[in-house]
Amino acid sequence: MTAATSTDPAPEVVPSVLVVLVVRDAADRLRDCLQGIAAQTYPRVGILAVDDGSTDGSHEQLVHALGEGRVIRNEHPLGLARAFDAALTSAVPAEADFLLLLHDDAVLDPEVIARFVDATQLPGVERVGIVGAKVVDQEHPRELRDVGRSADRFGHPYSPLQPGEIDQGQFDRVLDVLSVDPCAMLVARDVWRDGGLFDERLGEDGALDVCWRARVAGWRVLMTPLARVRHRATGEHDERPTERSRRYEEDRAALATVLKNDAFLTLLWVVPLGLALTLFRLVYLTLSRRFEEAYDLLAAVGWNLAHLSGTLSRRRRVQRHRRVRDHVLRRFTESAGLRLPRWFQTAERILEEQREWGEEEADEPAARRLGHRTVSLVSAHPVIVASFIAALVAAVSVRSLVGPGPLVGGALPAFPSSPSGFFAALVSAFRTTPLGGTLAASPALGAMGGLSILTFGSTAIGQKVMLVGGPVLAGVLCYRAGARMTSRPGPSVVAAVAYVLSALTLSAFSDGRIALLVALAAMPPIVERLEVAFGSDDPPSGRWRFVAGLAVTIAVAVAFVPGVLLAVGVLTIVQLVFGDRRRRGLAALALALVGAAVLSFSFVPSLAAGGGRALGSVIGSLNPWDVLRLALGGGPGTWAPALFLPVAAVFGLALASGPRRAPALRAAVTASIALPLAWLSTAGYLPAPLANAPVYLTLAATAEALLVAFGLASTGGGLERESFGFRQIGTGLIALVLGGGILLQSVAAMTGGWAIGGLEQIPPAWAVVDATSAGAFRVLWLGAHDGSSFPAPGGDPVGVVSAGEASVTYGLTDRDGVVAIDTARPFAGSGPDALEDAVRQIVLGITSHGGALLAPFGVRYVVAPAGALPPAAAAGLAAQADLGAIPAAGLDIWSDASSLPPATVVKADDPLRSIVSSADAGTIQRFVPPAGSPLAQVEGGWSGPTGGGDLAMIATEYDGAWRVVGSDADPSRTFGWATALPVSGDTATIDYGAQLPRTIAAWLLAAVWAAALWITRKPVPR
Amino acid sequence: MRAGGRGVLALVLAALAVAGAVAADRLGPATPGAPPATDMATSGVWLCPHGGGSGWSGTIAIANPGANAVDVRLTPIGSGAPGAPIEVAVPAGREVLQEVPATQRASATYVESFGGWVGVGWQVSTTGKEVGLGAEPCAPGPSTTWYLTDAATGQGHQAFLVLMNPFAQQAVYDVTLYQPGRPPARPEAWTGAVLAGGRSVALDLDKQVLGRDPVGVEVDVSKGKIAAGSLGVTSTGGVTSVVGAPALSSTWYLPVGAGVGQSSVAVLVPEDDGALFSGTLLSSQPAQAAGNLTEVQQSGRSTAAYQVLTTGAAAVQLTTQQDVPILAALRSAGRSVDDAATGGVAAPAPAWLVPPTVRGDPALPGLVIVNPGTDAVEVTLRLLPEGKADAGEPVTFSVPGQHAIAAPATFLAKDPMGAVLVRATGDVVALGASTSEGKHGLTMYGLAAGVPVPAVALPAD
Repeated sequence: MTAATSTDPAPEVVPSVLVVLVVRDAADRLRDCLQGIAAQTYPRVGILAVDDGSTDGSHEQLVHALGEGRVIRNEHPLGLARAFDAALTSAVPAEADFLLLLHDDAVLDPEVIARFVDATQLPGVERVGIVGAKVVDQEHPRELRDVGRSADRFGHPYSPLQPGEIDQGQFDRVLDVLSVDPCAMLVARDVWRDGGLFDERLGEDGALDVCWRARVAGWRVLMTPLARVRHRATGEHDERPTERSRRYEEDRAALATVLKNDAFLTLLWVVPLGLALTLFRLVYLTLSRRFEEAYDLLAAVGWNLAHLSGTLSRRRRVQRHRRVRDHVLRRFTESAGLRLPRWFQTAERILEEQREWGEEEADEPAARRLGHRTVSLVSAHPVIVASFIAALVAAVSVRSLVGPGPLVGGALPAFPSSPSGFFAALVSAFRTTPLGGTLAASPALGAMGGLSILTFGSTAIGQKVMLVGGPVLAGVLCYRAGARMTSRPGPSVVAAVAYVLSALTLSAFSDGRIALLVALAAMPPIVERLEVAFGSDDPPSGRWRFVAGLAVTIAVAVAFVPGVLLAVGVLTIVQLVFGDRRRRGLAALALALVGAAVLSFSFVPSLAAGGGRALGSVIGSLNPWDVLRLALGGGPGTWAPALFLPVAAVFGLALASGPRRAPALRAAVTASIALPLAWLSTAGYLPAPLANAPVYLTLAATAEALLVAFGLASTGGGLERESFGFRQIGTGLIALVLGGGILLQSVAAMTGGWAIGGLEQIPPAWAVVDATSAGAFRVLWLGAHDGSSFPAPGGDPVGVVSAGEASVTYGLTDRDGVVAIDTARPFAGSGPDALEDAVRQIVLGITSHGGALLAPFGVRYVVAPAGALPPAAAAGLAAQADLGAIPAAGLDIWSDASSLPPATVVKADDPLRSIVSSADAGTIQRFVPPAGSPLAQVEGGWSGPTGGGDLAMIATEYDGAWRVVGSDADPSRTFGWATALPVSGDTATIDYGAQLPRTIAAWLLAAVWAAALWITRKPVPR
Repeated sequence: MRAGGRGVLALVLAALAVAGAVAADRLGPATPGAPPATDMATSGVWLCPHGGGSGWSGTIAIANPGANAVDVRLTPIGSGAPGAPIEVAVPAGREVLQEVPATQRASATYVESFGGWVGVGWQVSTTGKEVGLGAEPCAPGPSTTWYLTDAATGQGHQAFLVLMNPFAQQAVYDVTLYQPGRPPARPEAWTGAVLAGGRSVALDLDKQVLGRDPVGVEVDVSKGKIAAGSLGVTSTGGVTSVVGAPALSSTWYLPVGAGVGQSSVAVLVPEDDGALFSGTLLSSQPAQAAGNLTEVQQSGRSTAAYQVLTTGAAAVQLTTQQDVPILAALRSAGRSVDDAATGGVAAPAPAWLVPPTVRGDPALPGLVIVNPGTDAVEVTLRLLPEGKADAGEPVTFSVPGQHAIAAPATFLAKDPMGAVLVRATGDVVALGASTSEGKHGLTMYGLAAGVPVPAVALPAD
């Protein structure tokens, strides 16, 4: 093809246009492209083609069509940017008034170039530098592909189009835009001469950069709808493998574009904000196991750092030609990358659908119209609708928890002051919380510490994020489990909402039971994966990946609530009886449990300590009606309407049909087993390691939610075509129950007072303990064995002291109350055993020297809910001569004024040594704690002045690795469980001499988790 | 499974759930498990707010009725720092008399026992300007409320309230003084008063309510725990002391013996409403009304004294109508200058340990056994002698119902300073009532009620 000709003599003012076509391996589409060029009506058109190393005959086609002289041949592919640059090196482009940069997969309508040139000469519109076309899909020309773009503040292109949006003339006006589609882009000569064309480093993503640069230089960038270009869908023709994801290329180009084109003052806020958002994205990608995407994001930032000098040199050139301030360009940028417009556009689209339905039903009565619209909206967009409503309900519900201060109250554990507190406890070879010992901390601490780091290093924010995010995560994972098992998003959404609004979830949130919320989140995936394991179909993600995923899920749940293993046991029994492929399922489960054990290898001994004490829990409700409605105790949403979930589950079982019958039956059996187990746990009929009402209730809630999903999924559609009967009645009833229940539970959540909150959630009487005592001490919490927890900040009981009618639950904390670093770690060992024995002697009234018996434990206060103790235990406590009652409203408090600090140095004479070396309570009760010099707890041990004392008494479980720094003296066992070391001099520092193995184990644990998460990562399409 | 079948199954499961809940509701929680076998850290404490004075001597009598030796630690308490603990071992079936400081009005002794049960009583005495003996059982534990009613601040009487706090935690207390015919007094200095840990204090009642007889005392402890006792000294030299009562009762047993037969029963009614009560005199004769104590109406928040004449071993049983709680004490005139007083006991028991009420030789030891029931009971006395003295054989005798009789003098004469273990086939009340020293052993007069012995502390028969 030669230069375009026209029958009419072109007036001299007609500008010349040179089409620069870049072709690569386009033999199958080049013909259409060339024909489009040939059909142009514009009179002064030339063409120059660049064959970018084609090997499929494209070169021959070009030569044949255009002639040898109009084809530039690159022997090796250089990419679009360099190919265009190669064209500009010839003399021809410099002669043209405009260049039309054209891709080989773009097909021009005949008027395109004429309309482009027209756009540059619009009256009153000056300095038009770049013109783009209305780009439509080549195969489906009614489908819009591009109508010009803006960008967010961080350089990501932003199109106003929805995917697949139909061209209805809605964009048919000349638009002043930030950039246009590079597949067919008219560029004025002065633009590319002053600023150049594409940044060769950015590849195909450099179009925004070119246009932005032109804008900075004062040129207009227009999109004219009169010029229509048909373009193939992205990826249809370009099947070349790339090393990085598409998102990497976009992120890389976006940052480079901003760095080059934004003014300095703009960069001062855009860069920090962009980095913060990048951090957020990184967190999200990491938490959702999209590690490759996270890596790509980091790589994009890294690329820009590595190429910063090149970017800055290009920036200097851009800024040299700057004629427009950034604020002038602000109308072309979107809000700070949060994509809110997308949300509004989605809402707009939904409203549009509603409007259309409304028009179709214009003749219907208003009420019926509204009903139809609601049904259509919910059925078409169940997730969006549920998310929107859930966000509203959640926002109202947690409004009282928003604030700068940390949360307290309920059973909420106190978080350490910094994330390092989690990691220090995780790595520490000895336990720093009451009575010490060497039981390893739960891997959950790593997760909590990591999340705290991500929340700007604030554990207070991390605590709130975990608490508020817990129910959300539970709902999302319940939805996903339901959707996978039913293939129906609508019913799954309803089931998830019912799950989140169950009495159990609400009470767990109310009491701040973060660990239980994690268990609530993990239980649906566990149930779903066990269904798959024992089901007839193979896991869709491959067997090993499936096993690894199950192992990770179990390990995460067990790290927070070890009792989840009991639920796994129940599920396994149910599957062994009712499952399809028992042998395969059992094998997969066994492998997963082994995998979970590997992922928790350092924590496994902690799980086994005390005969599996970690598995049990003593909280729950003795009221069987509470258990039926899945309530642990009191709190918002634990009222009678909470029965909606179990009642709906019954309907769900009745309605489940087809392939959902069998899993529904298994879920029903699971719930039927779990509910009695929950009550039996609290009522004391189960052995302690098997008694865990919260876990059984979690299992029951999951099973019931899934029954709801099964039932609703089985009723969907076609009811009106069936004869009236059970299905219609059942569907109506389940809808009624669920609707009413969800509504009432939502109201309860929004209006109820949570047990957590500010300092007002702590009983005023606690000030007697916390505010009037100096130094370190411990608090012994006692309560009735009725499933209740202690008043804040006592948390949940850690065990039961069996003493007949005087039996009590107990817990031991420091002045901060229950702490998060003890999550899932059992209170077991020689120290707790000795403490239980001491408490037993006290509540039975055998001794009158309870204070002396408690003194070695560092217990300065004994606290119980007012009037809650069994009469026999209260009498036993009252009989303790050396425990003084302190008047306090709401709490019963006894003071052991003579107790030892948790670590102290005393001057020990022979009688004292005789007593402290004894393990016999009969001897220990003669203990009269001498005045001593307290040692402060420091990282790795204790330190402080000796005050002239010669024996350091440490209320931590004896271990031979304890040592006095600078001394060869061996530790000795005191009171049968604690530690003492001889000291001398003015100061003493005591540390643990066997830290290295635990440090190595911690690193190994991190490596194992990294491997597991990598195996189960979400793959990214390249 | 067909739809109908699933519906039935769902209904069955729902019905089972409801039935299970009903059954669980009826079943209730499991019976708490018995405590596991463990080494018992048996211990006990006795608080002895005995008081004292310049030149006075104090003795703590510790008796071990059990089959095993018991370690005891005595800590002298006073207005200053506690004294060095004294550790003694009390052999099985024996008594230890331990001298303790009693040179301050506030003197007190904290007694801790380890490994078994012991009964503890005190004696304070003086032979100087003040002559007399005060004997009482110690308090078997601290409390947050104490009542006393035997004090007198009339002419010739000086009364002290001895409060002891042997524990590390300080105590905060309020004192209310009840008096005849006047409203209660709440001395400002004794309201919200602090008693430091390891200290005792003697409050001079004469400085607050002079010229009253009897003076009732209520001590309310808002923080910590203490013990209280009264110490009375007469200008003629007599000494009385009574340990406080931690609680009121509608019935009081006030045995008496060895005196001249003139007794005064002091009654404190701390409640707002008055009390209607009657006294019955139990003795070797059939029961009869005690003096004028027949349906006596005493106004609330008041004290009053009622004279009673007795002969030999006797007891006044005071009972209120409608179970109105009161406090009673008995002061008895001795044969010499020394009077004696007792707070009595609120309830009978089948076993008592009676501390010695004898100061020294010569002595006329006495023991009163009261059977408030209607049926006769067999009573066995066993001597718990001090040191290596011969315990002799137990003696058994019968006490008719509604009678009070004296123990055989020959039995007590084996060791007048010994404690006596009293075991009966029914509920009785036991009290030591002796005179000692001086001419014919009549100078020092002491009354001391026994302390009930818990069943686990009793030796096998």
